[in-house]
Amino acid sequence: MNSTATDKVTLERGKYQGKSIPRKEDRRLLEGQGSFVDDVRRHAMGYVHFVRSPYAHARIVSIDVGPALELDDVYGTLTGDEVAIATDPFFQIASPPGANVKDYALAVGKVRYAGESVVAVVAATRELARDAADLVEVDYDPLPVLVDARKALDSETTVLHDDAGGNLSWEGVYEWGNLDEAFAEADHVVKIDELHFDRFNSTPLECDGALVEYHRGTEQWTIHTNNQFPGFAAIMMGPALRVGIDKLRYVTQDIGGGFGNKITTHPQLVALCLLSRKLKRPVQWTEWRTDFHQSMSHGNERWFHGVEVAVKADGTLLGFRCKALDDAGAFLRYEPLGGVIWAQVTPGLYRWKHVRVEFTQVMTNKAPVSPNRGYSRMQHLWLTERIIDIVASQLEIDPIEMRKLNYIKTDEMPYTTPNGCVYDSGDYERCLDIALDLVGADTIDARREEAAARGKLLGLGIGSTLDSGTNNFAQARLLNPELQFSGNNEVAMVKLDIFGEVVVTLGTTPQGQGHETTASQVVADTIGCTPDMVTVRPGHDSYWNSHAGFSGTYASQFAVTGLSAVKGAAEDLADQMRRLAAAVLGTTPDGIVLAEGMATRADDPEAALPFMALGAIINANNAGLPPETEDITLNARYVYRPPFDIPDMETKYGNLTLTYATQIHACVVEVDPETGEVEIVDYAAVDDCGTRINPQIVEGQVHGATAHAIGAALWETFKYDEDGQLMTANFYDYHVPHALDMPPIKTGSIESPSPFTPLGTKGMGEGGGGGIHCVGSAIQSALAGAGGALVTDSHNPSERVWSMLRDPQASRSLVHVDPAS
Amino acid sequence: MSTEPVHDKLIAVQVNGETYEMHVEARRLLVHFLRDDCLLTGTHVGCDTGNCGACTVLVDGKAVKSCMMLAVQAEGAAIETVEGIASEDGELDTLQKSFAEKHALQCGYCTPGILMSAKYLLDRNPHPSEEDVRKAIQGNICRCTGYVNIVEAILDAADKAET
Amino acid sequence: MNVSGTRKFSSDPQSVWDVLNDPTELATFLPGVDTFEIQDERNWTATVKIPLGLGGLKLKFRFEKIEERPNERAALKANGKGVGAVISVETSFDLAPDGDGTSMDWAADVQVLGQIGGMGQRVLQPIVNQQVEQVLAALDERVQARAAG
Repeated sequence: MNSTATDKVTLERGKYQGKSIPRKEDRRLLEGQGSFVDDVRRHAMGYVHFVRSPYAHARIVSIDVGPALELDDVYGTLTGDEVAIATDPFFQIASPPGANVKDYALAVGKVRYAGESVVAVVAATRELARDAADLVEVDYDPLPVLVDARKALDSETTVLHDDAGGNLSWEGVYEWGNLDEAFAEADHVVKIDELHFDRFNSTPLECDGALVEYHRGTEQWTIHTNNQFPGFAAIMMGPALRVGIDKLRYVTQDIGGGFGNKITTHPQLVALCLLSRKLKRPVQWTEWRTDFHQSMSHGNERWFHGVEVAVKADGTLLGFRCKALDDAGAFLRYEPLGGVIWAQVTPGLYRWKHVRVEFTQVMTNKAPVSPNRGYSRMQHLWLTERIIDIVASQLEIDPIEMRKLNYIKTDEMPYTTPNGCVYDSGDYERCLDIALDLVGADTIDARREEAAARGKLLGLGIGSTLDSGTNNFAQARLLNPELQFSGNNEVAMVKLDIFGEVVVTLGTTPQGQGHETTASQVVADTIGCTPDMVTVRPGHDSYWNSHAGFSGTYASQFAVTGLSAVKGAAEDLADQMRRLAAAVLGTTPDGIVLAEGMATRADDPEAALPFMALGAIINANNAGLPPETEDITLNARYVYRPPFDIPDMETKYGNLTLTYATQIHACVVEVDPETGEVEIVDYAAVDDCGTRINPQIVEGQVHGATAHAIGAALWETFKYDEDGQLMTANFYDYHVPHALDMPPIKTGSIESPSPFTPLGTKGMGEGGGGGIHCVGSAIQSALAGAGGALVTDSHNPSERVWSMLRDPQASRSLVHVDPAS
Repeated sequence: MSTEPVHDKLIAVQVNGETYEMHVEARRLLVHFLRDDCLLTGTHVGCDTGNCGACTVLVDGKAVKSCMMLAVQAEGAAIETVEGIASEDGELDTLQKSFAEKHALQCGYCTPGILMSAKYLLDRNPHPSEEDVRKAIQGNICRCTGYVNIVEAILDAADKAET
Repeated sequence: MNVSGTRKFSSDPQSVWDVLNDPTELATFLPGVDTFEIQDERNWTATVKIPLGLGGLKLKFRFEKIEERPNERAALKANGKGVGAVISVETSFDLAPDGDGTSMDWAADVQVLGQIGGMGQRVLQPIVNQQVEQVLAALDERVQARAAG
């Protein structure tokens, strides 16, 4: 099923890096001995259940927790009024008007989406907490509901946040190059009235959760949780709770999937902090699936209006302009960062130089959005891919040829994009060829005929996408110049201990990406031992002091930030080990070889010290050591900081991300013209993430990202009715692909190492939504001979495809070519 | 015959060969009994509608979603959970070894449920086709792996098992 | 969701109106009413059990009469709250003579919010239809019984 075409390895890596060694994490997970947040227990802990609003928009008239408190073994409650007194509103990333949104741990005065937490109830058992929550009486005064982002800024539309004066979160204009010149030079202008990127998310199998303890003596909280970005949670929670972040200890271990959806749990964590302090006992919360769907981390829904593309007759793309309308839901938690993060991939994979995007983000009565696998880049890359396919269809140019014509070429790398981002390396054309070969594109015409004989419409689609990784947080300033954020960092510590234990701690919060394993591979090669001899402590703990401001696992960066920190710490440790061994064995540090757990004199293999000896000397037997060993601790802490500058605020020009992995997907679909059912009959994903430390782990990420994207393309959607009720609030209605749904997936890979990273690695894992792009592309191809409907939505379930077959004009009328070709 | 509703009951359940005898609320789900009362946290909860399969265990040899069963319904039954798969001395089962080798788990949250569904399949059908395998794990949702390596691992375990 | 229809009664508009306009009469034929309390001419409350889920869905309803033209038109607003559900109903009845009897045009706008609402039309529509049918049948019976003396 899998085939790999790997480029010649250009970096000298050592014995273990580059190998698919088995994972350290697996034993405990296979035995059911993982430690997920609901597995953590504390004596006398209370179970939390949230009372949630059934209304999408309403004033809270009154809350009566009395009936709940009358039950035995109900420990207490928390309401918005208490929260408004005990905490300050969460810091807002936006400048005004978004800055004026008041966001608290529980609803204060109003509810703004169905499922918003209004009251927290704590009781002795899970079941009792629900009983008690059912008894809480909340009186609401309903208000009009806004679910269509396109109406959010109309004057008569209901306003969610009076403090913000309207539903606008943020707006700005991005423009680079010379649009007038581009459109003057164009042979054709292709106009697309409206495109829509749908709302969904990655529904990690484990929901959010936490167990919070308050230590009265030190006024400190210990937060056992599965939040995947403790750095962000801390800067949100500290000021809200009016404490320094040293009062917040975050502990994570095993996390059942994150995909970005576990970044914005700080409101619930603050509620738990307040409860644990108020009730003088630990409190535990495990989110219900329905609550997660209704209230957490939807992906950004985005409309693109008035797309205009300047193109030459031969298909050379000169530029485009459009209006982007982003629906952030009811609160801005990580937003409006989505309003700038897309700019990491402004031109997509293409060479056009002139781009203008008028970006507007609004708030609606839906669940607040947060990062979701592919966050904000995926939406923009879908736009560029739709542009390619639609323009190609209008000008009757082969979409494959059009891509090859316009792709940035490998010899142009590193390539500076119109807005100053630097694509480090890659070979898009080669990846495309591999993908097309894997799906048998050369025989597509014959296959189309064969399918037609069976009454099916066959299509071939391509989705080219980039996974930009390692953010420069200065991009936040493009949204709000007052923000004091920039750069990035990650920390690792490696020590050699008294009995020879090599122990690594990280600042990251892995959710299945195999950090323990890949870190051990890097350490093993650097200090000269086996990965089995390296212990990597699982998860994150603030007490290890092994983290920095941006620590966490998000935004496709571990292979760069995490592993570079590990490499830095391991090299520091190796250096110290050589120096100590040299002092003991009577030679110079260059004369020491570290290999197979031993420090040996290069000129005398009999003169050797096992690692254990070095650890023992420094820790327990260090009298009389020569002065040059004074600073040796065998306990190295390294902070990796990627090289970034502050972008120019005026022109919005500068490097926003360090690395760019490529994924090119191709697929073949068969569409049933009677029902609109789409079957994927062939699928290939080709990945280029630079140096791969563990190829099997990389491939696993490609599989997972593909499954997420196929799900979003065909089945998964967060659909709201006009009353703001979520119709897909659980797995019964929100269809996630299962084993029979998945087509056979072929993978291929090449390695174009990054010139900018210590290991040549690039972050990957999000996958940029490649499957969404290529499944839509294939559907459009299949329908080309049956009415020629155009794909204008990222979500194409059978009902939509059926409509496209019955009324192709509906989508075709959204596209105009001027002058007609 | 009038019946008074019973709110809790003393039940005796065998889990992985050990007997657990305790009082449970009548409404306690089997999955919470296993996790909170028997302290066997390997079986996981991933949804509230019986769709995801993370809670799959074997009850008297049959694969059951333990969130769709009350603990009191398991009175007298012999239950197998993921904690019972490896041998007494800690050696991993063939199935578990194949999963590790083929990278059939990433976050590991769905893994216990999938192992139990796989075990149920292989106990009844030692030579499954790929289609058989996909059907057997159709009721188990995984969001990390796309099922690719999971299917390979189960087929690999079938190959390697001594018949 | 919206439901509407026309129903014919053999009794005259006055008889139909007498039943429709009397809260105590309404209590007898509204579906699943457990308890009933009248505040005044235009306002009353009731606890109601609707056949949904194990054991039924218990709701506390507040009724308000918002329009009244004797023998011609009545309009009501009702708001019910229960566990995980909020139900709002706006309903109207228009009466007109039809020979010796009455023709009644009725309409109801039913809004269901909360976890129950998430189940969507396919589950709720048949239940709403069934409830409406029960109400109309009971209303018919009541009107006839009252007219008979």
